[in-house]
Amino acid sequence: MELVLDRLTKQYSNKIAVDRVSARLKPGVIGLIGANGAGKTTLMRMICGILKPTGGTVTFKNGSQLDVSEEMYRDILGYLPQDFGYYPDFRGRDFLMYMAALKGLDKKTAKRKCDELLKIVNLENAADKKIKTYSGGMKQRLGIAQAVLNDPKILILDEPTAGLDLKERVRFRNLIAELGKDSIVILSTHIVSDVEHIADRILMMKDGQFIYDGECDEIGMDLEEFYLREFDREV
Amino acid sequence: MSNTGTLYKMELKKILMKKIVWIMLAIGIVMFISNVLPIIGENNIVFPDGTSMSVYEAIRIQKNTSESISGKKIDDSLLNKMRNDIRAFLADKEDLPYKGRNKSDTYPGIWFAARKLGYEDFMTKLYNQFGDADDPNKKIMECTAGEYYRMVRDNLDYTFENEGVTEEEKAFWIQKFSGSGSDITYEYAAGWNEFADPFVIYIWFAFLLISVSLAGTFSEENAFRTDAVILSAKNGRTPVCLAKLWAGITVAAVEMVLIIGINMAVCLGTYGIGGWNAPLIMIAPYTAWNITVGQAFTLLIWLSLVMSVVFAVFTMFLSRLSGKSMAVIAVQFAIFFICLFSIPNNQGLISRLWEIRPTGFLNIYTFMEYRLFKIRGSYLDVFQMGTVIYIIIIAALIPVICHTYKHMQIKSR
Repeated sequence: MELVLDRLTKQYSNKIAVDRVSARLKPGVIGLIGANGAGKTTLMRMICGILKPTGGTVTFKNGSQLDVSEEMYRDILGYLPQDFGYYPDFRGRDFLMYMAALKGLDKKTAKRKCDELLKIVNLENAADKKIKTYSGGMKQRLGIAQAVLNDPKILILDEPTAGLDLKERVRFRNLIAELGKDSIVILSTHIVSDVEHIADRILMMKDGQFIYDGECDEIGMDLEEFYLREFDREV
Repeated sequence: MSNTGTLYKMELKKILMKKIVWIMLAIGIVMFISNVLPIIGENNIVFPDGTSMSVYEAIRIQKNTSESISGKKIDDSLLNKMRNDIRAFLADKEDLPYKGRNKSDTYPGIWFAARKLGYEDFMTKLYNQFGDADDPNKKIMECTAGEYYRMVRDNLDYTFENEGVTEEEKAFWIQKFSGSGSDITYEYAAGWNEFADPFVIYIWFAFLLISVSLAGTFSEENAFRTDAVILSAKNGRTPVCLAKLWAGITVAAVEMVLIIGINMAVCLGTYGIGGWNAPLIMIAPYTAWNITVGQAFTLLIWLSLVMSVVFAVFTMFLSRLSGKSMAVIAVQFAIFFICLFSIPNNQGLISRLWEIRPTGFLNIYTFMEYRLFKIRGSYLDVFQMGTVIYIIIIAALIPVICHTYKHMQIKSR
């Protein structure tokens, strides 16, 4: 099982947001780190099939081959966008049930998964409250829950820890590490500490290109230090 | 699983959770009901002899008298019965200061008598035909049934001429009219008449309500920033698009039924439910359509439902293309405003097509429109042409919405 990015490019009228990025991603947690504006979100949107690349392809290979535009591809995808949106007047449980319907889960499975995930993300007691009453952290946890509803093979998390307190971050890291055993988890962040303990592989991005692609173990030093050194070297 | 049912319910919920929809619907209900408030209120009709009665009482008297003569052919016998009752009533009231409500002084007080005796509805049917005569009251009180039927036909010819109807079109309508023009049965249909008069206002209101309800169908996903998770989900493309369309169409149809239903209930509840089987001429005096009031309303209500689908699909089309709810509402209001204008009859096909504008052709007056559309040797009236055009519009817009949504991309925020 692998996700292949082949010379993936996104060019806007006056800027190249992602510049011929290639990678073969295997199951595990992949930390995508880079400063704001590096092209992380654009890259993730292209991987999710919601932003058409100017060039290049995204393909999922698992025996057969799936293109990013196919329904079957979306069936194995989980996505938490950076600017995760919600319907203010929906209750947390209703929102998850809606997302489950979107992801093609039958009613019985959807209900079971929703209950299970509401417990995992610690929203059990707030499940029947309107989302507009949730704190930022609660909304983010709801976003995480919706992303993993369909047990995705590819899980894309764009700045998932924004708004989470320390305790929630730890809980979240454990969940991600667990999911990374069987799935390709791409976790984008500009906070290095979010990924240093759980990422199997690090992709560093700057000006639309990968400036580092390697295993975490290969780094051999504190990730934050390494990150700053790599960026300085590029400059 | 495509989960169409669940997605449909969720889309309905998204539309119905908007407060503005309920506020606008409530305003509409209050506005329509307030139309009849003066009737059930304290407003009294004061007569020249110093007596008075409430409007509600006047309606009740009119209903009783009208129902007693309902089902009778308009002939000399019926005309004389009305006249004798009026003359008898006015016999000892020669010194009343009351005058007729028009130019005539020949029969002062006959409208006062008609209201007191409940003949106002029947007399209005006569007045509708003789209204342009030099002395309409005299005609009402002296004409024979033959003169009445000749006047009906003359008025029809005048309408044809006024509209610039061709000889071929005229022949088409005369054929429809034959059989109904010399044998008109009076039926009390005041409830339907009151319901019919502002029918186009119901359509306008429905148009605005549907616009407000559905403007955000697609665009709000961008505003709520839910578009990314929806579009990246398995059923986030075609199934969601179809669920949105079905939910939008359902809401639009229900809103149209509610608006029409509330107004129908208010009018029929106030004026009486009778008249379903009355000839259409009872509420559309210059019509050549040989159909009943019930048949005319069945047609209007079905077409209103078609139009609700058109409004819904068009609103959702704009919502999909513009991506901004306010832009959708602004465009709809602009269309609504432009539709208030009319194009003179002498502008040929343009004016004929203009008659089919969304807020133009769904009213009782369209049964008095005689210009036709000739297509491959067959004539289509305004209703038929409107139905064809709007079904084509629906059939064209739905695939465009689905196609563009299927390939929709996230815009940078």
